[in-house]
Amino acid sequence: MELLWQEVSLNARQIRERLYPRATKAQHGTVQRLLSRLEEKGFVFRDSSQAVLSFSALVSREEYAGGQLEALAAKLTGGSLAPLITHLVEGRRISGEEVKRLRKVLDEHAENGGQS
Amino acid sequence: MIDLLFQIGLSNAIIALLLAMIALVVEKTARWPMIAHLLWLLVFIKLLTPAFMPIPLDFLPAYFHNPAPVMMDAQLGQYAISGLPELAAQEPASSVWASIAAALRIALPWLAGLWLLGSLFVLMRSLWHVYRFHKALRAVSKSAPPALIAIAEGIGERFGLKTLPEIIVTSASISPMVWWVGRRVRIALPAALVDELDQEKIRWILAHELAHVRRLDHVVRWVEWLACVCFWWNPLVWWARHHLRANEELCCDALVLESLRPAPQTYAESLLTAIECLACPVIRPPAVASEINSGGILERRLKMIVSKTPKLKISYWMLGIVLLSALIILPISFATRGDANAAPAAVAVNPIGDASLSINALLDTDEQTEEAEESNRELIERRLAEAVESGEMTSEEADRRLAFCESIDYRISQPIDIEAIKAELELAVEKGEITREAADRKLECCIKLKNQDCVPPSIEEIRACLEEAVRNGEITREEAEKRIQFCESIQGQACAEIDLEAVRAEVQAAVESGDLTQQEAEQALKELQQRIENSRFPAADCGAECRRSCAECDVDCEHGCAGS
Repeated sequence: MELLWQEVSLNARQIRERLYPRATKAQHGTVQRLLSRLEEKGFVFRDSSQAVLSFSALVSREEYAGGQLEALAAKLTGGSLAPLITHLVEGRRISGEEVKRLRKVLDEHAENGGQS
Repeated sequence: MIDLLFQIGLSNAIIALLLAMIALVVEKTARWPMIAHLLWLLVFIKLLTPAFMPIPLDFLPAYFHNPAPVMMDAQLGQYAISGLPELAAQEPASSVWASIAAALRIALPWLAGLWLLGSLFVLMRSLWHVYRFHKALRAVSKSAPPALIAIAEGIGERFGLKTLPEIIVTSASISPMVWWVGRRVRIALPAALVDELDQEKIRWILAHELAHVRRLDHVVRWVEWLACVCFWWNPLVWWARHHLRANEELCCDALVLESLRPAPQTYAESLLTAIECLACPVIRPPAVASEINSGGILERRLKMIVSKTPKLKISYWMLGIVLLSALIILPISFATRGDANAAPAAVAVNPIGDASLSINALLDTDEQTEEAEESNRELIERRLAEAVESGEMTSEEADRRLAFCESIDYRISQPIDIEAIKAELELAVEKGEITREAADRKLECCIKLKNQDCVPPSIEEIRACLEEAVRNGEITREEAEKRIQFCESIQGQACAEIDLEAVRAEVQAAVESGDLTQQEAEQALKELQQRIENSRFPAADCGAECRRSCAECDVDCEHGCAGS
């Protein structure tokens, strides 16, 4: 990811050369696997418009780090041990239905309060 | 050591469970979230505090810690007669308990190891997560805008916070949170919230976070963490954690409402808007699936905030009661009957051992006889004193045991008095300590012993007797082994070559050098012989062994070997 943030887009060979200066066949496979994993996660975009496949970063450095933080936060509030206090969203995203229900609770009481 | 740890851990867990039940009941009433929170916190504290006031409980059998010594068969003569009162008092427990306890005793070190490993694993894993999160947080966040900090300062003053936590804003889409790792407490807000919410609403979000800091909830997190590391195997901690946090939130909301007096609707609206903002779908790859609702606690909170019922009117006497009960409950633990009796039981078995020590001493030179006896008594006294000091028995108990040991010692040196024994047995039967048949059997055996008529049981017979006792669950295998070894050792001693010639020679030398008069010398020799005869353990089969040694040493078989 670091490489892709530094340069706009690279092809597989360039990536391999920079990651593993003494390139061998084995490392080529490693790089391919790494790239496909990153692509699956949505961090990397594979551009097949040219003859040579090139890769570019889909997320900025900050976004990526933020994603890491969120993942960690989710892990920590999901029951893992940590000195973390969150009170609104306990690590899992709250569903739309839940929000609607909460809105209803408030509205009902607002009405009652208005009447009395 | 392991026993003690397990006992503390187990009894702490039991008491903590009871506390949790009470906390749950209080929580369900929904009237006093503060008391409920305190009770849940107490659960965790109880799990962690070492107990130093044991309450003896009889429900765990003594087998757990000390196999009850069984009353040996009447054939063992005098010792069965005198009744070793403590041994008689302990009924042989059922074999089911005994086998469970035995299995547990074997498994205990393994369980302890597993416990420790589990704790280490949980510790490492959680610390690793904490470290990563801390780093990640610092990487993507920056200090909050001055306006926000000003608001926070104002609220902090109202709450009476000495140091204001560091307010940071992070680009990540996380829930507003309090994070305390390292020196400073941090309150992290997501940038999305800061951008979208107006100042009024942000203020109440901040207020809630600061309320957490005011109530020292960030410290409670670490207590909770420690309890979970130590008691990871106990589902209670994970369950209690959930409830603790739920009540915490309610208390914080209540604190905000009471201290800052916002309009309840406004406060609730701030929370809900924040939730709606955070619930927006984001373009980033989702970290976790989002099916489940984040907990009925949000609903409870909102309802509590807007409800008209008066809340948080905590009476101080109620708080006082809870704290007082905490003071009482925290130090106690349960102890099994076995612990209370462990030392005495060991000492009760010892009279035989100590008696054999006496005999050993007798078989040495007679000059040292008196001192040896003294030192034996000293030894017993010392052990008893230690036991009294460590609180394992009372001093009355110790005195009783000392008197008992002395009586044993006395009996060894006295000839068998059938009348006295008969009287004792009658008394025991009347008191119901032994049955008529058992008493008759014992009396018969004593008479035979006195008349040197009965053949003392051989080692094989004793072994068979013990085997049966083990089968019936009266004693454990370990105890049986111990007794066999003891009998074998006695046999060895009893048939140790008593070099009467050497003793005679020594005594003669003493007479010649003027240390003893001739009369004293003869008296001493006679006494020694008498003692040896009377102290002959019926458990030993001198039989063939003694005959052989009698032939080897050219001494008359005056040793009183029965069965020759």
